[in-house]
Amino acid sequence: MNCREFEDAVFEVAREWGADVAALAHAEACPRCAARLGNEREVAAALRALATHSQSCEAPARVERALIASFRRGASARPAGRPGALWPIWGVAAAVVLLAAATALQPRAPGPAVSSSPAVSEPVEAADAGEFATEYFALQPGTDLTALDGAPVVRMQLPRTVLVAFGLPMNPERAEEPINADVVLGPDGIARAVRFVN
Amino acid sequence: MMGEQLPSDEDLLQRMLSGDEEGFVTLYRRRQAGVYRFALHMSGSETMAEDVTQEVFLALMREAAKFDARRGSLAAFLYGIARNHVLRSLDRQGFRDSTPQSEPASPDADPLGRLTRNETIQSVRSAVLALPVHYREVVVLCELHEMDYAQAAAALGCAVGTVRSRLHRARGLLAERLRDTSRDSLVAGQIKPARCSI
Repeated sequence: MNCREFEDAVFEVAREWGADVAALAHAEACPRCAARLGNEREVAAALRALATHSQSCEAPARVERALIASFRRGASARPAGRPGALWPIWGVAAAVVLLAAATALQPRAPGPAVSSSPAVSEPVEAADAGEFATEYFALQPGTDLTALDGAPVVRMQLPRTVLVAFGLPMNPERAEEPINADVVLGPDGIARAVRFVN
Repeated sequence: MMGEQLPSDEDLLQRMLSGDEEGFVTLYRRRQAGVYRFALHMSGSETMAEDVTQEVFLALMREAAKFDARRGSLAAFLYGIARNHVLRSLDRQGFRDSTPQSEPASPDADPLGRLTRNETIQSVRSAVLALPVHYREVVVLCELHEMDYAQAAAALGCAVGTVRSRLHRARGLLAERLRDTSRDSLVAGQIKPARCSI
């Protein structure tokens, strides 16, 4: 084995993935490659220390609880024996439609709560400064979101648990807090799409 | 005595898809720690790791049909989802190629030993987090999660040769960073990391 071949083998040798007799023999005869192997062993040991240190790290129990709750909601909405769509999204959509309709009928406080700017085709970053918005989710099957360009958008608050129904992560510790949502209304005043804003 | 055969990930996935909560919970408990640690090592943030873990399993509920056992294991599939979420989160927070925060050290009955160990762990963790993300992910998967090149390639959606070459370069960068850290510690008169000096 020469130094070039040793270089190809040094990582595996340092990590003791296999007894490469030829590589070890070369390192014994070549001070430069011996030093190289020593360095690699130090890196390997450091990484092993980090791996060992974090071995017991795992997700907090609240994540499992939240996921099981999501699973139960999904399972209850799924036809028996049929894998596929797990979320009762259209049920939630109906609730959003009702809330949006109710909001649209109420007098609104002055301010930017309602926007008539074309928001649907804008990227996620189009939310106000400091806000992060999800993509828009259609509330009715087959809705062409691009056709809603220029449609009015209503800012409202929804229960945070709605996130789960759209397959979005929800921090269980904030489950009681409402979340802002931009609801896009169709020409008939019915909600057509929603995005969530943080 | 015959040992009880553990159900495979794929069996558990099928049970999950048919609405079997126990199947889902078993699969989650088997795989959550790996996903959580991957996100933690990639981001240095427990909060992000928790969010990513939740998102990965929500995505599994939604998109399990996308899993194709011919393209890799379910674990690799989950790591792939986790990777996408981590990269999006890092981009969102401007952390993709910078060093994010890290979690606090665990308690230990041996203060001096803990100090030395923690310094070692912290040095390695910082060195890993400081790597460019495409190098960081191969180090995390191959070195900290002990995946072989093929498994890592399946999780990252790239060729085995790419994993190997990135890992080679990443190890070189890690060695440099650990050497620099060790030198800085000596200059500052701090305790020398026990195994990180190169």
